[in-house]
Amino acid sequence: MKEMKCDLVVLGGGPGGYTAAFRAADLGRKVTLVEKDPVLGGVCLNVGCIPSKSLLHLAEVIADAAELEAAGVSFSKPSIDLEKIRSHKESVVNTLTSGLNGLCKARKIERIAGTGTFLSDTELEVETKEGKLKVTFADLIVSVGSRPVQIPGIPYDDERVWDSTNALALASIPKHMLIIGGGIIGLEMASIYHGLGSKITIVEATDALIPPADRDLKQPLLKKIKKHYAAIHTSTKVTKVEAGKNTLLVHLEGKDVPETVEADVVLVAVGRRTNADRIGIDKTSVKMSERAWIVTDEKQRTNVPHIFAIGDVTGDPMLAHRASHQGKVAAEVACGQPSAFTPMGIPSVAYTQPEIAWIGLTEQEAKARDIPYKKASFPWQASGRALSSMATEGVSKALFDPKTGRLLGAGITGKNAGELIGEAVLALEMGAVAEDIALTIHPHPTLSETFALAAELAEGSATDTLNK
Amino acid sequence: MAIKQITVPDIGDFSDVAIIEVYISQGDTIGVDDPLVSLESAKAVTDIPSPYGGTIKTVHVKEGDLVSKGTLLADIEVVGEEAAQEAKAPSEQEPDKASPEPAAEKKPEKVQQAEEEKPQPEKQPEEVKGSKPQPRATAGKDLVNAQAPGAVHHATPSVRQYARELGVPLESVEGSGPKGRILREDIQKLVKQALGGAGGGTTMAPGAQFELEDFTVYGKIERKPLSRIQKISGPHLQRSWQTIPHVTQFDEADVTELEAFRQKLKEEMSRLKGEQQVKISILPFIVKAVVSALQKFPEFNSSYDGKAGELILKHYYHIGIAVDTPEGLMVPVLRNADTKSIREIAIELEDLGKRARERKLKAEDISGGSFSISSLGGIGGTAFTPIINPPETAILGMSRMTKRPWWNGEAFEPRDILPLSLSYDHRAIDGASGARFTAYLVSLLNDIRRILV
Repeated sequence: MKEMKCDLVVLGGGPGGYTAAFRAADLGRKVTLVEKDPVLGGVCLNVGCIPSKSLLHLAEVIADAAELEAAGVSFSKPSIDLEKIRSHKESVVNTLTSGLNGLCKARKIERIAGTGTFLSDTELEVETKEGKLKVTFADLIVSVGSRPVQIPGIPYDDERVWDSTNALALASIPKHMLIIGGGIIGLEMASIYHGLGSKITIVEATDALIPPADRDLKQPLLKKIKKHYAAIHTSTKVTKVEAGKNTLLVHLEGKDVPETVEADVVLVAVGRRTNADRIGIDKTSVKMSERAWIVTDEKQRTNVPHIFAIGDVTGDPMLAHRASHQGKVAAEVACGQPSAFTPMGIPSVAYTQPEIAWIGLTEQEAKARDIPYKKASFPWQASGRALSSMATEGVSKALFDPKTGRLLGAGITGKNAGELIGEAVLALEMGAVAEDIALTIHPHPTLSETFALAAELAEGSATDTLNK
Repeated sequence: MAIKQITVPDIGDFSDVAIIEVYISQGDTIGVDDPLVSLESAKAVTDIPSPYGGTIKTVHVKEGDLVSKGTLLADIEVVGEEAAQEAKAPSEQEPDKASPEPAAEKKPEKVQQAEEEKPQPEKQPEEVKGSKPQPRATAGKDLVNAQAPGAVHHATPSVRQYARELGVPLESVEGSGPKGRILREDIQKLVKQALGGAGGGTTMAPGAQFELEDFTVYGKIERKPLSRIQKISGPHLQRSWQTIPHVTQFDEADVTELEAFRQKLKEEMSRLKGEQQVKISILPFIVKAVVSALQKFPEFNSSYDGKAGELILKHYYHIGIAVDTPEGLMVPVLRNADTKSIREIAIELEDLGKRARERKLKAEDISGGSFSISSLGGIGGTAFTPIINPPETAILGMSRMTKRPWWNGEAFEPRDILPLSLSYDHRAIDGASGARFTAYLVSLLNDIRRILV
């Protein structure tokens, strides 16, 4: 076996991995990046966040255009050129991945294209096209990410059974798509395919869609999709999917639900699991949790001090922006800097229509953990910008500490909520109190005002609505 | 392979501090936070820890150099390829020796770890990489400084990082910014104080202490736990000493007449029946005289409120009396001393002292003091500098009364002289007042009848 001695190895080139590699290289380490795919960016860039957002953008514009009819502007029904959409999406992805390649080269990061598995606490075996390679390392950052969870009773070899990757490949637009899983990924895919003309059925095992989000934040979305989608079955299990000749027969178990539903495509989006089980962790002394998450401290160190782990492989929430921040921390700690991953919150965004975004403490979490809070929420029906943009399905909510007045958490539903939540994240990290937010002048008329108005409500100083 | 430059970190506003020791030399392998040099400022000696682990390439300073923030200390080759080779080498050359160690670390319960559990590094990275085994300072290395949501003292992400860089735990910092925000300057001040620079107005962490050496290098040692009282009073005394500008005024009182009167009382007491007998020391007289002085100089019976820009004058006279107990120093409080007779005070002081030694004091017995008296007269000494018991503004110390030749204007005669040491808060009381207070107190003790005037 060919052998290689490396300084700092990053295993996995997703958003966490490449960020870690870039940061470590910038700090002067000799970095080797091992990635199984020929391109960097991982799930997020290639088969996740980025392609889904380029498709969601189309779905959103289609929906917006249709809604303009009420304002006196009518378009003819859009015609869909699937091949062109696909190549548009791919060009977005390619622009980004080739950009990453350039950044990687400029930093003189050594790339190994291959699948790495551990041989010991200091050695890695990498399976490349040219054969096996033994890599020894001084430090290593594990960032091998996650993959979709599979549930039993489903014929995964059938090409009409999709996961998110298949859905984003955009092979066809099914007439009826049944989505198993009413989380963020399932609902985003529903948005895309509904926009492209599919009939949508959603089946969710728990009693609510997007379980971690507060009920009041989800209400505007639920109202809308209940109208648009064929069916939404919560507290319902899929017991079996039978592959028929023309359709898939989906067996359901739940209250007041049909026993079977026929669908042209079944999308399984029931969550993600780590890839920690695929890298030979058992050959090392690295500790894992029961859910096969690699356990680290706030310095992203595993129990083996020169092995770090970041991103999805360390567990929930499996989000690219968490991974990239952890990647920076790991790289800096490996370079002797005193960094630590201690965010006060990691924002979550569902890029549905309307979008749902939240940060920090949620109301349901506060209730479960008995944390006192003062709540204020501003309905978008009272926002001039929301009204003029035909985007009144929305709400901006903020939770404050009753004693110190500091922001504890916030949630925004509505158009561009994912963009708007950034301000709340900053306010949280900066330790803002309601008054700080209320006294900060927000431009008028904008959707961003709604967050400030929620803060005014908390202060009892709102003039755009009645103070409760 | 990267060469990094190590400079004196930003530890606040100080410059030209002398290096008294250089711990590193070219070729040394050091770990993160290993001490590089030792700096000596006005009052303290502090080690500067290394921000990197690696091999020292060049040392740019020597003992006696004066350094400031940003002065280049050394070039270091950050742990890199060599470490990889070191880690690798044993398994090639000495397979027998190298393999047992990692194997021994493999534990079957690996998969059973709870998610919340934070991994405990089983060995230090320095050991793995074969450098110095024991870094002396570990403060910054594992410091996390997470910010609790809704906390009174908030630090923004950059301030949290800055605190980690200087090894300052956030919980030891009191924020001086708007709404209790912890500012970069608060952290600088704290570090500056630890360095012994000009004292700022911040409060030191109660647990702050100087770095301890491994004393076993010099000889045999043992560790004795602090008593409960010492644990409580230590940070209180430290805070007082660090935040209050103390001035101590010394004076001497001729208490010959007072002593004669006391001896007379004592003799009379001995003729009383058992229960009515009271042992009267000089202390009740001092208490009475002090109360008279406090009435004349009310700022000595006050609290300093810098925030409001006010002195809080007290119209009550609760006198704390420092008592030496086997557990440590206690300060029971004699309430409303202005309304009590010498006899009543003597009885009460005896009771308080007894209960202090028996650890039977209640919360109300040790709270609410407006002025304190500390007497070391029974032990010895000619003068000392008592530490103010905040939120009071002054404390009177008494040393041993001795018979001394005293000039009466014509000749020396033997007189009983009591040395007094008055420490006061210079923010509340100016120097002239301090001297007037003790002078007045001396005049009262010279002739105790004056307290009736």
